[in-house]
Amino acid sequence: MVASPSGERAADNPTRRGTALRLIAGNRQTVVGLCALGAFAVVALLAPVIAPTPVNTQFSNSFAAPAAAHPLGLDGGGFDVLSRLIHGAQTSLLVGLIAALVGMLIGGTVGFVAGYFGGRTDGVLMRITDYFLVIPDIPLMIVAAAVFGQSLTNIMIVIGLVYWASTARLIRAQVMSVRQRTFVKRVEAMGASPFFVLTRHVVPQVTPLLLANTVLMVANAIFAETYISFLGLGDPSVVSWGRMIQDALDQGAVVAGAWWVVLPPGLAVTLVVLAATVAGQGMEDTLNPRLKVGHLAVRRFRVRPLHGALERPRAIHGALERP
Amino acid sequence: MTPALSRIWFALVTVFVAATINFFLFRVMPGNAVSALRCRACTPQLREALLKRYGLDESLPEQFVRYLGQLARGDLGISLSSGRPVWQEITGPLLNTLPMLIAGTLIALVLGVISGVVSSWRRGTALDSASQWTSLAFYAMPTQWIGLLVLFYVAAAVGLPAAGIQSASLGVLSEPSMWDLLSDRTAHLILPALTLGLGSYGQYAIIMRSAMLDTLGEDYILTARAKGLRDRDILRYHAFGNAMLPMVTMVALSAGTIVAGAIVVEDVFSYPGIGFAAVDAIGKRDYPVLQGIFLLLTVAVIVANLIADLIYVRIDPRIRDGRVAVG
Amino acid sequence: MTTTSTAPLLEVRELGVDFDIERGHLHAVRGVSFTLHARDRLGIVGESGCGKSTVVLAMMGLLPPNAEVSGQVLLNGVDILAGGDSSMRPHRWCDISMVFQGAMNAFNPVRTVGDQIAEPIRMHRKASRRDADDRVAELLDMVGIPAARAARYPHEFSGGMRQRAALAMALACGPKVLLADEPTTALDVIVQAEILQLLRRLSDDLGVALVFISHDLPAVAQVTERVAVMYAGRVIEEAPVARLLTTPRHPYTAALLAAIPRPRAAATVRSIPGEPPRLDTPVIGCAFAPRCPSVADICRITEPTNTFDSDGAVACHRAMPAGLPQ
Repeated sequence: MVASPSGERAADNPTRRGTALRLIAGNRQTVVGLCALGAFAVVALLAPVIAPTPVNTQFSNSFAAPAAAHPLGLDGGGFDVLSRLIHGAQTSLLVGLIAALVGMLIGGTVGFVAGYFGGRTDGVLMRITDYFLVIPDIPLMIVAAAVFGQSLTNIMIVIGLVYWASTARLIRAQVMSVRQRTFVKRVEAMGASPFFVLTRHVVPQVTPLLLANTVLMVANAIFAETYISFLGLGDPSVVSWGRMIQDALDQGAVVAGAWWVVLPPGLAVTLVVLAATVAGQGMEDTLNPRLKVGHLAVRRFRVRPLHGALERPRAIHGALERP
Repeated sequence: MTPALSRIWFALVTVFVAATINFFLFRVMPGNAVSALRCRACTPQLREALLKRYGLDESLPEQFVRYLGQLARGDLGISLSSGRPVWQEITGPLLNTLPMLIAGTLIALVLGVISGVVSSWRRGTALDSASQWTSLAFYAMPTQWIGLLVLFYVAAAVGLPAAGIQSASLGVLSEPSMWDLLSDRTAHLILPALTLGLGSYGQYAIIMRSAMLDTLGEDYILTARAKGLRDRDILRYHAFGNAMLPMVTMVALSAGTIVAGAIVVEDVFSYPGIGFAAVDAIGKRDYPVLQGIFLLLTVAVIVANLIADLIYVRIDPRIRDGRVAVG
Repeated sequence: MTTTSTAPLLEVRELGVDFDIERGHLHAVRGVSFTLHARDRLGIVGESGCGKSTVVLAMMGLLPPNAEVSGQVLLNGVDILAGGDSSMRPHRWCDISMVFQGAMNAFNPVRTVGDQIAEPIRMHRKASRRDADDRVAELLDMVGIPAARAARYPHEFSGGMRQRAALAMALACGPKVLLADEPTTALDVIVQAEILQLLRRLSDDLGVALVFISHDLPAVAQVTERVAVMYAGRVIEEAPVARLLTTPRHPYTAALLAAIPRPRAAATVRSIPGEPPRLDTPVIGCAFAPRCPSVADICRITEPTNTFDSDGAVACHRAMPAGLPQ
């Protein structure tokens, strides 16, 4: 049977430090994912320093294969691929982070308010959330991006504005579940102010989940940015990984057989999205473990042979043998 | 209101909301009304006609009412680049996209189901890990990148066409037969559909595995084992059916991501479907077309959700007979 | 009663089950042995967690992969555990079958009951659909369910009917041994009585040997002829049911009997203080010693071995002598 304890798993009133540590380090998946993300973040931060050439330097021989001077070769426009990749990291990760934060802020607030106040507020807010959940996100983003122009800031806001809905649902559910718990009701009955209840009980229980969800949203946001840039709606003045994939197609890298132009940006996106997904999933698992027992398995019961017992006379062996 | 009716009502309202968002996005663009059309190729006369057409000289509420009226009549506006009605511009591409979309979804489903079943059956083994990691990896890859990889490594190898929907050589020398046409079209949709399938199957695999594991933990599976059924019989007759129930919902819920994938796939393979038309409209800043496509896709996704909701009620006997509320 | 001259139908010898868990090993079952002849009815009673369900699951080879089973289960002289899962499979259901605890969930909710009863018949006996359906009707009739119900889904059956259907399903292939694990728990009293009566009748009519597992000693007493009492994974007493109820020899059995609420009894219900031992540490001495009213020093040091008498056995240093009233 599926046993799925809710966030109840944490002690009734965990210290914030305890939960935070458990959240980050409690799960091998989370640690691996966060480390990988951290590595990418470092690269992104140090981009201007690490990149072998300044990003806008154009060399003359396009589609040059990887060599010592240009470890990942040159693309169709004559730019150093590795430099673009590193600078692209900055853009993609920044967009991912900010968009996820925007989404978290909106979604978290909506979910919080809906879950805490309940009743009509909840009904109205959830109805709006449902609309945003059903309306397909990428097409909406495309239209919005097409309308609002192609600055990086706008892109980040658009992505966040479209993705907040699932966070809202999640947070609302968690807030409601926390409020239902007996100890919270007891505290409220004792006359604690709503503010007290909020900050001391609700927030510590909800925040870890919010964080885990934000990590997952970073993955989605980077993914979305890749889409938007690929379709030509990205900011033309910056390099991003999505843009690099678009360039690979537009410049005819496939025809030219220039694998060093095609592979790196997609690989980078995949790795970052993987890392974020693995980390976020690990964090959610720490908070909400799901155990599943299966009745089908490769290894069956093992039978140990009956040593020695057969030698003994039957009268003594066995409790219920008739002597 | 019965559950079915309330779901239909919700769907209608959502369409309305989408249309409203559509409306306001268009009107909210900076700049004055005329220049907001950003119509590069417009002649002054066309511009004049468009102004009248969209009632941009009227007040906002009046414009909204006019817009809704137009929608109700199926009037999606006029393309800024071609001057033709939008719906005329998109029906052709839509018909092109549908077979590719369906093929892609089927591929994704098959891959996802296989991956999920294998993972759950051989749970805890290397096969399970490999299957999960593979599906996760494909899930993380941008679909357009998968398309590029397919172009790069697969297209030439298998000799399948990598662009467009019809070979240029067809019909040059003689009138192509129905069969020729069909097989040529099919050949052209294989690679895009494959790309779409690969990019989308990850979510199905995860859900299938989860559903199977849930199912395999149930008591009736133990009973089936006690009855002496072989593993593969148990999977087939007991586990699979139950696990597929949540898959039905999943397919509908994933309509949004599949559609998004289709857009980029068509761009990569220059497949003249609705996604390609959208990209084209973006490039030309042909907003009416873009918004018409958005509305169309939204309605399609909403309808897909609705159908899945209604089907689910029918196929699970527990819900159908109104006894148990399935979580 | 049973004759000792015929060969036993089922012999369980020194059955032991260890579970591999994170913390180490769980010694769930130790040295359980018993014998059944055709038409025998044996009850196994004990508190929850004493290992009784594990015993029958082990007998059918249905334990999870982290279980290590030792001992033998001889069906007509053949050890069905020896060959692993694939050699056990042909014996399942047709030689030895089971009614599970909570038969409510034993049925797949999306298939009809008739389908599921017919399933083992069609598989093991290679019966045609028509023949299988006939047999299903026959089985349902045996347990008192209208044959038309076969086309219904499990959720359309009441709890008691589902239990009967599970019984019918268990008998589908004509097994020689039926293991019934808590078949009457979660049913109301009247339905319980019906099921118990049904079990007795079926065992008589069909000649099926029955193993009845329960924590409910009175229920077991109504159906079976012999009862084995389990504690902490071991059988600590075994006797004919009448004798067990009147003159139990093991203090635990006595305590169990005393704990049964009786109407019009003067004394209050006496529950057994304390809790059963955790099974992840090896037992030193008698497992019941911490809670035993008759405990002596030897009980804490040496685990008691089985003492046999004319019609049963007991594992206790302080067993009441046979023949004396409690």
